[in-house]
Formats: sequence, structure tokens, C-alpha cells
Amino acid sequence: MKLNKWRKWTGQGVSFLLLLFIISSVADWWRGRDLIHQPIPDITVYDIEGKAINLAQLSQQQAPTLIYFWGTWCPVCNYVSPAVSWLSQHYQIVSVALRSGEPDRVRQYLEHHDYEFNTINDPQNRLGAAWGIRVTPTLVVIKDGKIQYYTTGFTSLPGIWWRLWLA
Amino acid sequence: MKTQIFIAWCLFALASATTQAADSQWITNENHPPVKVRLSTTGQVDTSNKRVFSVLQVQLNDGWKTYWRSPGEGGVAPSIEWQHSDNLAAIDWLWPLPETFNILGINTVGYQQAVAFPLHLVAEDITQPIRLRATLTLPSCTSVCVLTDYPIILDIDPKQRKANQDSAFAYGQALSLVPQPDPQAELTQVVWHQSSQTLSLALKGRVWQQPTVFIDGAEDTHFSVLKQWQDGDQLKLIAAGKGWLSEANLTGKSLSITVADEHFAGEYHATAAQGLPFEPPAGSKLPIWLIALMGGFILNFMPCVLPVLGLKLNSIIRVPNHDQAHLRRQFLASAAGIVVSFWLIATALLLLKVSGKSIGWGIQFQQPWFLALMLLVTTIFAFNLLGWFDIQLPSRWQTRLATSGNKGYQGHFLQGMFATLLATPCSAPFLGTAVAFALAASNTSMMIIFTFLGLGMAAPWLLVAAWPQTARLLPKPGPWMGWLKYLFAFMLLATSVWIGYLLAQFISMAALVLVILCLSLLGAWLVLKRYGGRICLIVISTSLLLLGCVAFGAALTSKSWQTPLPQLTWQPLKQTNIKQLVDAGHVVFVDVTADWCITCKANKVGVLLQSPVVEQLQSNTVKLVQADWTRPAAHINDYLQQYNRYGVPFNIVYGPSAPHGIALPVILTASAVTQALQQASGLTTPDEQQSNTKPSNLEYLQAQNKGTDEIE
Repeated sequence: MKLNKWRKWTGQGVSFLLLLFIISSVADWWRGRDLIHQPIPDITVYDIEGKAINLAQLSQQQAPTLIYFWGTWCPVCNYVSPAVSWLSQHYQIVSVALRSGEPDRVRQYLEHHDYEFNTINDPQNRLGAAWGIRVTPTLVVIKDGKIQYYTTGFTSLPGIWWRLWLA
Repeated sequence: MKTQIFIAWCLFALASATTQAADSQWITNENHPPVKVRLSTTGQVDTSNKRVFSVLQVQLNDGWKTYWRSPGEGGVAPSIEWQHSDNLAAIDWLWPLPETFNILGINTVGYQQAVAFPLHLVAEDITQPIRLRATLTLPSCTSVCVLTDYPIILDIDPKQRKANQDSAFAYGQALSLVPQPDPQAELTQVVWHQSSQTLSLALKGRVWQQPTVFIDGAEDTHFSVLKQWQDGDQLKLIAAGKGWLSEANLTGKSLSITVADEHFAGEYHATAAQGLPFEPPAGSKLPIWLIALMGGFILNFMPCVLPVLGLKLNSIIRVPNHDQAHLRRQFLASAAGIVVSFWLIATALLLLKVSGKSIGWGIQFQQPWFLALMLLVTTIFAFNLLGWFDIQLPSRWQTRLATSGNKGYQGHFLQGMFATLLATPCSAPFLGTAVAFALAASNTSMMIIFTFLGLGMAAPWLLVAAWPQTARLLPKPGPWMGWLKYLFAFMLLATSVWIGYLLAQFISMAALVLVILCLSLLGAWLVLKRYGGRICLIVISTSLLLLGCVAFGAALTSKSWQTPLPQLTWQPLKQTNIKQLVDAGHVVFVDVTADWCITCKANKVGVLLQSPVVEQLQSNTVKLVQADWTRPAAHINDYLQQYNRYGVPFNIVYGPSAPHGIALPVILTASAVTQALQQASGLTTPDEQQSNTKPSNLEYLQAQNKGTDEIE
């Protein structure tokens, strides 16, 4: 009896999650219409620590990489950044600060807010334009040379996590 | 505002020279269709200051916002990069008064829908043409943010003179909204306290109605006002300063303070000095959780909830040989139902708050679909009480309930939820204070306060759960119980009638008649099914007979009750300038009310329309102003929130001796109204006046309210 009940509840839980997954996938697809598709721009850039990063090469790796486009001027990003910062302990994450001013200011901003993700400063929106990013925050998961997931706007920690996990 | 429009037009008249207007026309960026911008010169030139007047108009689609020069907790100000222009020395950007927005809990300051910025182009040589080659960078946000660039190319020849009427009008209108330096008032204290990161301000020289204060000027720092109050003739406030890149230090920094009030917007400048923060006026003596607990408890005895409480007691009496453990669990289930409903309400309010909607207690009664649902629920419950049918759970559920061994506690849980649902139109003393505090507090505090409200309302249930033996003290079951049940059924039917009356405001009479007919037919069908045709006919004819008696009785006695209460003539709040009336020596009595608010009705019938108050209100010197919150109205929400209220009834009296108003207790008394009217008109003795005018300060009033039982 007990077992049956559990089975039923699990079944309901799974179907609920599946529905949620389908809805968010459709929403992602809709939001991602303007995004460049293939290939990932083969540009080598430098993060604010001076380390060279090539996103096209990163995408060839086994593990997924999360690319987080944000801006110091974007109020909604204040909600997404802490989640990305927390995930950066467990996943490979590259953030791109779009049009946020001098590297020193961006560095100071990251330190003051205790954000721990790698950051490429893109004051002229060059990398952003190459990727076709129109709004912030934008989250992209890349793996196997492809964009696996793409979403914009407020995204919760579990929302980011399942995209990384499934990628 | 009017004077400012006048000043704007005077400026125009002064600038005698006009120039060939240059116009960028509306520009959109194909990557970001929701925003349109247009920069145009008005045709006027101020040759002595080498200025060409222009206006930047911005149109945003619904939901999109752009920002003020200090965007608040996030965001960035619009900017223009013009270094590649010829014969241009500077661009002076003027900022119209902004609004405050709350996006996902972050406070930002800016504009929505449409805004126009007056821009003054300063030429190097005003006799030569200006070649403007600029890039406008405009931020806009909804749940995502976009920075969009707009190239703007204008060739302006200051010597060619032709006005652009559209632009000149837009410019004049925009300039009238730009806060002006105000010599009448001055900042007497601007104190920064480093360790608490707070700024204390005192502003003297003006009588404020409902001031909104914006602070800016310090780079990479944003401010949020924590507390604002009136101290004698000074407006005082404490604001938190938050550094964007590091801890803020404002000592020696020059700051701009913008104050917006009814029909006024002024700007003040001062340098912050290091010092101790102000001591805010003493707040509530009772802790807010205790107020919430009491508010919730008192809700039980309001007319809308009493039938449910009665039902509950009825059900205990009916079951003989109470099994104490069973009884205890039943009551705990109801208590849980109540607390959970309060959580649901809090969550719904939070969602509304996050989406930027205005919130308040009882706002669901502004929704016709909610009223319709309530009408259905109360009527069906009344039928159930009358014994016309039993509420049957689907057999599948019943099996599950039986097998899981919880003996149907869901029913008791639902009873708790139903009680809470019925309680929402009722405002109890203390409840308003707690709700007002909760709605303005952080999300966590809001949840905590609503939990205490729920616990307060669940208190009688919890008490029985703790001492089930108290149930034995209730009278023995007997035929009286059947009669009590009918009494409760009729109370619920009366509630249905009342809800139907509320619904009549939203739907047509025909639709309402249809609804009543459907419900009556449902009742008749239930009786037919249970008792057969004979009883059904008896019930129908008895009902018709009763209705007929009521109608006949009403018609016979109509003379005696038709105008039992005197009438008061109210003018709508929206079209009233309270300050003007007060300046003209009138006393203004404001009543914020709603048809669904029972306390409002009680106040009217019990106090406002009774002698001696009604005579005082009918006097020529007293102006009566009413705001009807039956349907949602943004201006009423704003008005209520200025006094830190989130629900009705709200009554306040203004007068020559009380320009800030004397807020009245939620449950009115004749003496409170009389005293406030006298005090506002300045009829009290100086001694009394001194002790009484102090409450004109809002915060002080709040504090007073919290300390007494005169709250909504």
C-alpha cells in the first residue's frame, strides 16, 4: 500500500518536473531566436586578471561551460550574479561584463559584491555583439563545440543548475 | 507645477531669437523595438548664454523603464556622447522629476511610458552653425536590461529662425517638470554617520503635504530613505547610503536633495558633515508580532467569521464522547488551515509586490471574479447548513482518507481556510497596523507578521487543542443546535446577499439576476432531490411568501426608514486640492472607503451620520472629500500609502491648524471626530493645541496608533 502511494507521488512529481522542463525549454528557444547559432565565435580575449580565454576552445571540452553576460548597470543581474557566483565553485564559468566601464571599476565592483566568477571586461560590447547578445542577463551553456542552452532574464539557481547538469 | 510652466514660457519669451528648428524625427533601433527617441531643437536661442534649446523625447512600450540621473539601487542614467560634434562646448541635461519603481525588490528611480528631457546645447560660437554628431546611450529594463545606442545627427544654424511648435511645447512641458532651486526652504542639517552608513537631513522653511525625497550627487552611492518625519517646522529624514564599489564615505561630499510634494518640486544642495545620526521619534511600544497576534485573534469575533467558529463548536457538540486525541487533531488541522491561508495570502501579496502592483488588505474584493466565487461558496455552505445536501468528497478521496488513517482532517483544514477567506473583508483593530507594517517591511518580516496574524486567528482553535476538556463545558446537544445551525445558515445567506450587492457594482443587473436565479434553482433542485417534490414546493412557496412579507413590510414602513439617516455631500478626492481648501480657511474631512468594507459602513451609520457629528460635517466651513476604493484606483493607493496605510477605512481631517492632517482611528468615535475637527480648525485652547498638533507628524501618529487600540 505504502509503496503504491510513493510510486504515485513520484510519478506526479516527475510529470510536474517534465512539464516545467518543456515550458522552460520552449521559453529558452523563443528567447534564443536572435542568438548566433554555429559556430561559436573563435576569438581569444583576456579576462580582467589578464588570462587568455578562447570560448570556442572551451566549448570543445568534456565539461560544460556557463557563459554569463551581465552589466554593472543592470538591476536584474543583481539577482542572478549571486547564483552564478555560487555555482562558480562547482562549474567552469566565464562571465562577460558588457559596457560596464574600465577594468578597474569592474574589478572593484566584483570585489565589493564578493562575486567569484571569472570575468572578461567588454566595455565596447564587442564580444557581446559577436555573440548576438541583446539583453542582460543572458546565460549560455556551451559544450562539445555547441550552444546547449540559452536563456535570458531572471533565472534561479536551480534553473541554471539543471541546464548545466543536462548539458 | 503651474508656476513652473509659466516660468518655462517666460524663458521662451525672453529668448527672443528663434532659429530654424532641427529635428532628428523618431529613431528606433531595430534590435530594440520597444523604445523610440527623438531629439529636436525648439527654434529658440539664448544668444547671451550661447544656448540652443532642444528636447529629447523618449517613448517606451508598456513595462519598459528608463532611468533618472541617479538610477537608485541598479541601472544607469541615459547619456550622450557628443565629442565628434563641431562648434559645441557642452550639453546641459535637465532631469524631470522621476518616479520610484520596485523591480524584483530592487528600488530604482526613473521614468516609464514617456519622458522628455530638456537639453541645452551650448555653442562655442553662437553665430556659427552647430554640427551635432552624437550617440545617445539609453538604458531600458523590464525583467531584462538593454543598453541601446542611437546615432543622432543634427545640423543647427542658430541664425535661421523658425520655431518648431511641437518641440517647443514638449520642451515647455518637460521644463515644468524639472525641480527648481527653492529659496524658500533650506537644508539646516546634512549629517553623515560613517559606522551606520546613514545620512540625516533636516529641511526647514516649507509646509509639506506628502513629500517624497530623492538624494543624489555622491558618485557611486545610492540612497534609500529609512524614516521620514515632521519635527515641528522641519522635515527630517534618515537615509541609508550604500556604496556601489566600496563602503560609502560622504563626509565633505556635496549632495543634491530633490523634494517632490503636491504641486511642487524643489532642489536643494549642501555638503555633508560628519556627525551623529538623528534620533527618530519613538516608535510603537508594543512589539509588532504582538499587535499581529491580537489583530488575528480579534478577527474571530467579526461578523464574517463568527458563523464558521460557531459551526466548529457545533460539530464538537454533535459528536458525543469526544475522543480527546481526535478532537485535538481536528482543531490542530483547522489551525493549520488558517496559518497556511495566511501564508498563501502573504505569498500572493509578495508576488504582486514583486511585479510592481500596488497591494493592500482586502484588494481581492476589487475583483468581480473573486466576488462571484465568494458568492458561490457562501451560498453553497448555507445550503449545506440548511441540510439540503452533504458535502461529499469523491469516493476515491474518501477511500484514501480512510486508509491513510487521518480520519478526514482535510475537512477541518479546509474549514480553517474557509474561515480565513471569509475574514478578509473584515478589518479588526490592530489588524490594519500589522498589515500596514508587513506590506512596507522586507519580505521576511512580512512572512513573519502574517504567520503571527494566522496564529492569532487560530488561537481559539489552538486553545481547544491544548485543553480538549474545555469542549465538555459546552451545553449538551439538543434541538437548539438545529436552530443555531439555521441561524448560522441565515447569517451566511445574508453574507451572500451582501456579496451579491457588491457584485452588482461590477456586472449588469441582468447578469446579477441570472446569477441569483441560478443559485435559487440550485437550492430548489437540492431540496427536490433530498426531500422530494412536496417539501420542495413548500420551501419555494415559503421563501416567496417570506420575500413577499419583507417587500410588503418594507413598502408599508418605507416612510419611516426611507431617509432615516441624513445625507452628506462628498466631493471626489481626485478633483480636490486639499491644500487650497485649507489655505482658504476650510476644514477638510477626507473619507477613504469601499463598498466591501464593513468597518467603513459601521463608521458611517454609527458615527458620521449621527448627531452631533453629522451637524458638524454639514457645516459650511467643513469640506467633505471622499475616495472610493471599491474598484482599484492608483491615486487612492498612493494617497493611503503616503499615510502608511494599506487598507480602508481611513479618515483624516485637515485644517488651518493641522495642514498635515490629523489621522483618525480606524473605528471612529464621535468624540474623536469632534475633537479632530475642532483641533484642525484651531478652536481648541492653546495648551490643548500644543499637545494636539504634534500628531500632524505622520510617524508620530503611526506610533500613537500602534500604542492604542484605535487601529483598523
